[in-house]
Amino acid sequence: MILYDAFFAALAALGFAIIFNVPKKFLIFVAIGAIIGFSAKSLLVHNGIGVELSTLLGAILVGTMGKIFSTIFQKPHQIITIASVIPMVPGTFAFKTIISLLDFVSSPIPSYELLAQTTFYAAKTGFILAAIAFGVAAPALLKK
Amino acid sequence: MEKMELSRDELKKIADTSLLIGKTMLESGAEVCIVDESLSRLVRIFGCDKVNLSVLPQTISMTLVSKNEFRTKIMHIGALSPNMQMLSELYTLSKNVCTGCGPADVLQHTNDLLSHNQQYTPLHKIFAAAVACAGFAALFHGSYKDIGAAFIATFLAASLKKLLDYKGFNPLFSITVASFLATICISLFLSGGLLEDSKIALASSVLFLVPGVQLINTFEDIIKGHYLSGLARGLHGLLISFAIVFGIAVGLKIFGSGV
Repeated sequence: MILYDAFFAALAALGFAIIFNVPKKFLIFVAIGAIIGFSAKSLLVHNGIGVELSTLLGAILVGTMGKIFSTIFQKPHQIITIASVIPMVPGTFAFKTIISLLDFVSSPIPSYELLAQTTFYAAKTGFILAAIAFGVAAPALLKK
Repeated sequence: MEKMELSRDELKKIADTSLLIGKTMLESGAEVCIVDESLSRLVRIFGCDKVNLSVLPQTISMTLVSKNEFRTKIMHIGALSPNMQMLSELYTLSKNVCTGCGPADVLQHTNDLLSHNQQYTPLHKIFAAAVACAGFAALFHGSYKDIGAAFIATFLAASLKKLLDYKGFNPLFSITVASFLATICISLFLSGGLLEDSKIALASSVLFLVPGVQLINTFEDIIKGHYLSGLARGLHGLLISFAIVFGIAVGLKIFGSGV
C-alpha cells in the first residue's frame, strides 16, 4: 500500500509541477520529494501517529530536501518543494468540511452535532495545511 | 578600487531593470526574501552603494543610493501566476551577472526570458491537472471509476478555466466556474449510474485549483517579518478556497442531491 501511495503521490506532484512550469530537469526531484514526504507521512499514520504531526514531519523532510537542492543547484527551494507537498493536501477533510457546512446551513433547526462535525473537519483541514506550510518553510528558516 | 558615483540617469536604468526582475519573480511565486536577496546582489554589481527594497501586496518600491545621489522608483505587481522556470532563470541571472555587465544587457536578457517563459503548452497543463487529480483519487483509495471520473471532470474544468483566463475573466470567477463544472460532471456521473459514491471523485477533481504557492509563501513571508505581503498572500489563498467552496456548493445545491 505504501508503494501504491508513493506512486500516485509522485504522479499528483508531477502534474502540479507541470502546472507550475517547473523546469523539466528538476521534475525528478519533485517526484522524489513527493515519494519521500508522502511515504513518511503514511508510515507514521499507519504506526498510530496523528495525521497532523505525521504531515508536519513529512513536510519537514520535503523542506530539508528542498534546502539541500537549493544549496547544490543554487536555486530557490520553492521550485521543487511546493509541488512535492501538494499530495499531502487534506482533500477529503476539506471536502467533508464543505459537505458538513452545507448540511448545517440547510438544516431547518440548528444542529449542534453538525456544528461540531463541521468544526472538527475544518480544524483538521486547517491544522494539516498549517503543518504542510510550516514544515516546508522550517528548514529554510534555520538561518537568518 | 573605489566605486564611481552613478548619475541619476544610470540609477534610473538600474532601478527599471531591477524592479522588472523583482516584479516578475514575485508574480512567478517567489517569496519576498529571495527577491530582496537577488535584487540587493544585482544592484551592487551594477555599482550602487546601497539599496532599500520594500514589497507591499500590490507594489514593489526601491531606493538606490550611490554616494550622494539616490533614486526611488515604484512598480506595480500583477496577479500571481506560478512559473518556476522563470523564477529559476531570474534567480540564476541575479547570481551570474558579471562585474562590468550593464543594466541594459540584463534588461535585454530578462525581456528574452519573458518572451519565452512557458515550456509546457496549455494542453500539457490541462492534461497534467487531470492526471494530478486522478492521482489524488487513487491516493484517497477510490475505485477505478472514481479515478476515471476525477480525470474527466478535471480535464473539462481545467479546460474551461484556461479558456476563461485567456478571455480575461477575473481569476476568482474562473475558479468558481471551474469548481462548479467539476461538481456538475461528477453529479452527472452519479445520476447516470457510473459512480456508486461521488465523494472521492468530487474531492479530487477540484484539487488542481488549490492555492499551493500562496499557502507556502504566506508562512515563509510572515515568519521572516514580511507581515503585510504574507498576510495579503494568505488572504488571496483564502479567497481562492472560498471560490472553490462556492462553486462546489452551488453545483451540489442544483445537481447534487445524491452526493
